[in-house]
Amino acid sequence: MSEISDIGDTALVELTRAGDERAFGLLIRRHYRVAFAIALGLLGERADAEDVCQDAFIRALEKIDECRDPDRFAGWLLRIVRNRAHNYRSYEQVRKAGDLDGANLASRADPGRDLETSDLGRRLAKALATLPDVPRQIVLLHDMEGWKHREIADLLDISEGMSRQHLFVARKKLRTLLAGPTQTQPSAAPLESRVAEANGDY
Amino acid sequence: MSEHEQDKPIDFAGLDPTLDEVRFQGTVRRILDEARPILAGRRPDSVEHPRELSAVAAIGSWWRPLTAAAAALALGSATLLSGAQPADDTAGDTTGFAEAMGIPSVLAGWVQTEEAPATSELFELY
Repeated sequence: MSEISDIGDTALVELTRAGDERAFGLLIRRHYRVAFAIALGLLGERADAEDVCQDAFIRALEKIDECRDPDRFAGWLLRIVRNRAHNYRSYEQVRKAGDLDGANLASRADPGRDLETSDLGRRLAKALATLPDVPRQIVLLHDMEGWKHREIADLLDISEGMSRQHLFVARKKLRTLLAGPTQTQPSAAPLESRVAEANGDY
Repeated sequence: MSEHEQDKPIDFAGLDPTLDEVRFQGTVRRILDEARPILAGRRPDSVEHPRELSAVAAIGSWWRPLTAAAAALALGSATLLSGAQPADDTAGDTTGFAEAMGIPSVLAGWVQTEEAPATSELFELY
């Protein structure tokens, strides 16, 4: 007997359109990681990426009748994630600019979520945050999600050669930032001092 | 660092949001909690948030009742028309026409049969 987890995206989208919660839950489980990689690539902050992912999945559900090709649900979802991430960043820039006393910034932070993030995760996120948007998305999609350069090039509207070039430089920079004594005893200062050195690549 | 080393992928396991299963389940649950009312509104039996119908679907939903109404109307009209038709189109026609003109039916009968009425019949008429 076939399980719901064996069902393809097309059928899951149809079931979701009919209000099936299990089908939508499976779409979330199946595509959350790549959505998170895209959001993290654009925002650089894990907590922000999680917020944007949640928002993007809800938005996708609201607009699911507009998904004309359910077989390519992932590509459609990732466009929503990118749009929501761009909107989120614009909103944050305006909010931070208008937040003179910094009170809202402090209250927005979620220490619980930060504590749950592993030390390695924090160091990776910090190193990733030093990369420009496009190389950050490329290295996450390629190395975290296993995407091919052709797929990345299609999504980001760049050439495959450009994708390869960005990946090479991004990896080199990340290795520089993550290497050395901070791997056993991490601290913010050595990493940041190497950021300036590695930034010569961009 | 050699170019070969640069070809190796960076290990992003520390950032994988699905590795911590408990935390990931919590994330999925939060999204589903927010999605539940939207999903409920999409179910066919929902009355709170009926699904939007396309123009074709709207016409389709009216097609059967419209057909039934048209059939009932046609049946009623056919019955009325068949009932209005005279059973005999000779004597009945003339008498009916004369009555419609206000002429007493007895008088019309005399005219039609071309028989002269008896005196007693004339007295009965008036």
